[in-house]
Amino acid sequence: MIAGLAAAPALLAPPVLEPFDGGTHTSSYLVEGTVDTLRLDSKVLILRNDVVIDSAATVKTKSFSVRIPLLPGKNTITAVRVAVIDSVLQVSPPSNAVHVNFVETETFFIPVPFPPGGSFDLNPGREASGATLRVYDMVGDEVARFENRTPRSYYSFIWDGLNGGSEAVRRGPLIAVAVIDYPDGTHDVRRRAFLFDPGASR
Amino acid sequence: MSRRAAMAAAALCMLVPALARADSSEGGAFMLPGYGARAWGMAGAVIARVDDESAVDWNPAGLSLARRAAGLAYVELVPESFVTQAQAVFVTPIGSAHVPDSGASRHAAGAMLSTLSADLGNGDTYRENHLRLAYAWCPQPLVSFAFGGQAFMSRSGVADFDAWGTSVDMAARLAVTRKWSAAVVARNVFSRYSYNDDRDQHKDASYVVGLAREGIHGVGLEADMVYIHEGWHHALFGVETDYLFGVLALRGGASILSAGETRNSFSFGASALAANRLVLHYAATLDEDEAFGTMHRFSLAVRL
Repeated sequence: MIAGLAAAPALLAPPVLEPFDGGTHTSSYLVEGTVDTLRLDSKVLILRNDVVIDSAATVKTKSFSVRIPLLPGKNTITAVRVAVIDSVLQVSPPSNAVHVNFVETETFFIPVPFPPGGSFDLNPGREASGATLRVYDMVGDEVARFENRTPRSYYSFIWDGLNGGSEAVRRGPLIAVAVIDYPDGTHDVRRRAFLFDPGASR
Repeated sequence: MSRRAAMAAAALCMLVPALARADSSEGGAFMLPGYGARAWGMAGAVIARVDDESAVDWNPAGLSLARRAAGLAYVELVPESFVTQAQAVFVTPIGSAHVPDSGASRHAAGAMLSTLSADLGNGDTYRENHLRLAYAWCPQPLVSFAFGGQAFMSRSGVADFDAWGTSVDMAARLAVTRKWSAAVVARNVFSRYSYNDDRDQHKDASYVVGLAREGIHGVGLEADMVYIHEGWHHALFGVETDYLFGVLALRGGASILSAGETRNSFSFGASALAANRLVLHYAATLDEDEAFGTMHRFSLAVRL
């Protein structure tokens, strides 16, 4: 599985990843999982399509989370735990597999209908310097606004269904306007209509 | 400036500080912008001056001043998002009775059909259809009263988003002098709509007051204030010329919206009149790029 490393099923149990098998519209995925024990000398390697791309420490806590970039199309994500035991580098058997299909054509994703606690997901297509998102009603009055000034290649804004005055927003059509700013000074504006349902579940 | 004008300006200025309080919208269905490019060329500041087919939507009390006419209007409401609005209107005096000294019709009525279409991006389309009927009564030259009723419905293919409902508006217009007029419109004073899961909603009531001045070297001015979302959140200013050379009218307007964070938008428009019967209106609204951007509106009216 990984060249140069021997599996040691008797000494190291494999990590357990949060199950997922589906599609995503953002260019990264948050891998979450747990290990069975704490070890000072171990870490978890994250593999995408059998290639190691990142790692996570499991020194202080048994749970770990790592956001990894995705390739367009199917991504099979697994994890192995490595540790030095009796001066020998040991590798656990692989974890359960998580299958994530990255649909890169979707750049502004809004669930239909939009539930309280749902998220607006933006895929800028390249590294951006920041993004803002505003929600308006159909006559152009503002309902809510969000902002993220962290440079990144995706943005996700979670909305609890309350307006700027912390009042519950009613069911009906709304307009989301996302503005993505890029380091070169340009910006991209994307507008989408969506249906908000305060009674829908995530 | 005359004493009346000074008092009116002072009254408006007293309302401006209330705009500092910005309450956000609570959203909801069946909210549509008003009819026609003529009104939007003046940023919607029209309720005191409107005297054509668009009165059926903006202020039905203005129907008493309108000739019999039919009209069509279209706008891409939210650019680049496939949200469009199309409307058809018809207005007519009822009977031949006119109010002496003003030329206004003693009774007038109008009807409007509106369709909103919004692409939801996953193969679903949300649609609303509205039917509006309005009636105006002008008992004497100074004042006219009106009320309007709407029935509306929505369809989308999305579960629990089919709804229907009704609402009622009331309006009045006052000719203060030959050149000054004032108006008040109360929208959705009674409203109710229901989804197919029996959850009832109501539309936000809004109240508009307007003051207009005609005949300043062939130019008309109007300022309107809108009370909505529990505050005075819209201030609208519009200007319109008479038909220059009998053919072309020009318009401009500005709006200050303070529901949520305050923003300004500007409008301009023009109308071309042909054979004293056919009028083509155009308006552009320049909103902030972070909001709706630039919207282009077209409407066509035929004086019958």
